Amino acid sequence: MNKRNLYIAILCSVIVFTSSCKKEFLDPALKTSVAAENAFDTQFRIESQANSLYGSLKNGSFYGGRYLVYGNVRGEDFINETGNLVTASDVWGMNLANSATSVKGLWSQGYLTINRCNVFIDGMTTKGTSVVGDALGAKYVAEARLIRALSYYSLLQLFARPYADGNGSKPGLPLRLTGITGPGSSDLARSTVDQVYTQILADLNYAETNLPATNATAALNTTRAHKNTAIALKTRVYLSMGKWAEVITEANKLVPAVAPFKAKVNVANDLVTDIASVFKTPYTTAESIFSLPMTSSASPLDYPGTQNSLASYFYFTNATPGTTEFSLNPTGIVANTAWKTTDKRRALLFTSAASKQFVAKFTTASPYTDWVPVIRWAEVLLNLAEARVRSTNTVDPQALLLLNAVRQRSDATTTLAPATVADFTDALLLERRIEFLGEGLRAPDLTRLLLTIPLKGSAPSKGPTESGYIWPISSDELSLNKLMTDN
Amino acid sequence: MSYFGRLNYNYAGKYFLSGNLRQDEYSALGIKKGTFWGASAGWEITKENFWATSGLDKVFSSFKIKGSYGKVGNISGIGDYATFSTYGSALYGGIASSIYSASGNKELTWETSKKTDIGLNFGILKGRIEFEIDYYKNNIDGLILNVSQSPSTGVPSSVATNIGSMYNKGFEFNVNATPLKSTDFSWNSNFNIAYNKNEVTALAPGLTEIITPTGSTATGENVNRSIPGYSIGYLYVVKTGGVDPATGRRIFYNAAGRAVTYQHIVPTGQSQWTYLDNGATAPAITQGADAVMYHNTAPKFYGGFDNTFRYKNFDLNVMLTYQLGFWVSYGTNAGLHDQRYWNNAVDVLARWQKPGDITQFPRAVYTDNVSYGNTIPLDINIFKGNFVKLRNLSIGYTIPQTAFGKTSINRLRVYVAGQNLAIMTKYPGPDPEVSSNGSSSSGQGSDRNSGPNARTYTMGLSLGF
Repeated sequence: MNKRNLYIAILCSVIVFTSSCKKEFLDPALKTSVAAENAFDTQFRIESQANSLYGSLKNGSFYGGRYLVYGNVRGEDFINETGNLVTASDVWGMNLANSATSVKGLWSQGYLTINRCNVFIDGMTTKGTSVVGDALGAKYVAEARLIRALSYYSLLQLFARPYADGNGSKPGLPLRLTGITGPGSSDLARSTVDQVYTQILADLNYAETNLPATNATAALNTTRAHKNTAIALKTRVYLSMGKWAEVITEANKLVPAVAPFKAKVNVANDLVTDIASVFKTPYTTAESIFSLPMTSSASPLDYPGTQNSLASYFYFTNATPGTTEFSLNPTGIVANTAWKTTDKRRALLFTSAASKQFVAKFTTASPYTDWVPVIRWAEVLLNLAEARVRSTNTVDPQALLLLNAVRQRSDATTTLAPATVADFTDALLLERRIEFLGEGLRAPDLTRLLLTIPLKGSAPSKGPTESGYIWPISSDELSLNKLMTDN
Repeated sequence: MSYFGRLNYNYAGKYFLSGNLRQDEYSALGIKKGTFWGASAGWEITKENFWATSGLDKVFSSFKIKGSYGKVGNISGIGDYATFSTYGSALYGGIASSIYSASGNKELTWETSKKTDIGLNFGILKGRIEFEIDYYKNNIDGLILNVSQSPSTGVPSSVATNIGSMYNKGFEFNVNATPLKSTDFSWNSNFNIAYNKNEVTALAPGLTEIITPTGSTATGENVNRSIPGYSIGYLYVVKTGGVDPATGRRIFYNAAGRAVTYQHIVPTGQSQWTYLDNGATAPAITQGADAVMYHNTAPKFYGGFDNTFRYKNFDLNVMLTYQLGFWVSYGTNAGLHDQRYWNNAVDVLARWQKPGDITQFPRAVYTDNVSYGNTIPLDINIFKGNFVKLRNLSIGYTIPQTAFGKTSINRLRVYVAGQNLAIMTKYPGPDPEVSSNGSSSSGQGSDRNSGPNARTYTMGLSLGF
């Protein structure tokens, strides 16, 4: 190496840059949405969140549409017209896959609603109640717990064995009671059916205590919960559990011993003279204990949405009545001669040119803004009647009055007089099929009593021990929740 | 907010050293601060005396060895407010409401890569052929992905999460050559091939897998699954065993490897899922319980071959690209065979029709969306994605400058070009290169109702003054 020619160059440089920005930019404040940290700062925000819980329940995938659709079409009174798996033809055909649209959609929207309730309840505890005061805070929490209870109850009807099968000892649902706002909570095993029902009742009892006796307007008495809402829902829940004495206790808080059967306390819930008025504007009759309101706003969405609304399933998918997803089974309830042609509830049917019949309770044109009934007074009366007959095992006189109150409201010329207890319970179930046709109660009525779901058209029957009697669990849940088990 | 420092050292044009150090803070992260650094070294061997004395300079026109190591941070693809749980606007019967609509992650922090690079460059034949060989290893920690939570959590969105670690390692080989060069004609060519191995090495505590959905939660499918020991976005499907000749039902294999058949319409008293061997009722096949890690979606080899020819004023460019050693879930295929009332592929006409028929198409049952993989991802819809594409073809002519006389125009070229003109592949779908999940790294190789990359034709003039 020739050192003389060695050229040494050392280039050494040190550069330090400081690119500076304002420190506060590192902790940005949101401009177009409300962050969780500030969600409970004012009463306005709390009130608007409370409304959002109802809005989540009202989603077309859940109680604002499809939950009722499934309750209808699992039963024997409907015939599938389109074979469309996205619009519940598999629900009707009793051959649902774990990954079916209906299964995954209902499961996720149900739990989305539950978590929103939980997040709200947690937020009220840590902050909100101190903003609005204890009484109002408890009222808001009561609303959230009522919605959570109704959501759990609805999921139980499809995803778990009925309470009557082993007194609630069968696998129920993952019972989530704290709000989840981040990752890391995916795994949770199922509680038993009984544990979930226990929580539902705890929520409804809290709701009854802390909800107002009445709200300010007829509309709010229909769309926001009050004491009667909680009590009425309890009659449904206890009936599903076969706890007849408790149904009677709850119903007796409201229903007088003798006619007229109008609520004794709180909101003056009552049977309206003409049942058709329940399903018409303004949808706020004394009969509607709880309904979910709709408007035609598309953004934000305020109606059930495409392929979710009751009218589009049962009345029309365009402007022509009778071209839709489900017609009435000609050998189902419409063929029953005990349902007289003069019965006003027959006027809530539509007969197409092809002589097919359709439910015409939900008939508002696209975007289908009919309000969705959650529970109405007639159900409370029939719940009480059934509990009285089944608990006393007699042809109970008050039950007979209640049954005839519902029947004669629409068919004044008929007086039902079942001779035996068996005839009476049959008559009660028949009355529910007629009265609540299209309102989603039929399938839960069959399963709570462990009755076979009858065949209809090409859809097979399902006995209470067959798989398919209840739904499979969402494949997404099974994939992402390692402690979840399938039905 | 960033601080940045750099140090360079160069000794006699032979040895190069450099180092850098920086610290950054980023507003969209929960834990905002990250410190990164790097170091590199190079050796220009041709400047050494022994090179000339040994005569190696006659063979090699250039020769350089280089290496680097560093740690860098990555935050691409993170929403501005990924750390926030937020409320959006909604209505309840006309009344404005504020609804919990997105979940955030307060723990979100930098994704980091520790990159090792060792490379060799050399040229021969007076630089007419230049080679570049590189080995790299890139260890990624705190990998950020949007992670789906189980639906029962009721979390309204997937959550950006530092989910774990993975690495990419491999070789890159690149040749630049000028095989022909004369006054009128030249040919420049570049060929490159890369071998890459990707493996997820760990997931964050509490996570056992990352499922990346294709499509919406309610109607989509989950064919991509990432777990340690496999490359990211691995295809996760249920295996099948053809069609039972006796009944025409699809045969599925459950987790234990036992054959189970499926019938879509269930006569009263029968079951939907039945063991093939004894006809007993079987539990429903589900992806969660019965799927297997089936094939990788990340290509093992990829690269391109780019050629430019010039003859007088004409030029021609032909570029081929290729990817090899990967698989694609052709979800569209499931839809095309689904037995609902819509357009189907005609090959289902060869379906099972009577006992004894040997066919790959199960008995046709109206509304059956299970037997062909529309509800549970199945191996029958997984295909090799290997392809060679004519990525670019262009022909141009440069009008001689003499044509413009004294105008200020000094260059005018007219050209015709086409992209994606041809593809050679055995993949049955339109294009194995597309993903229904866009650029999501954990959702590649899922082709469900996606169109191919567009074939485009361009004609143009380029004008220089």
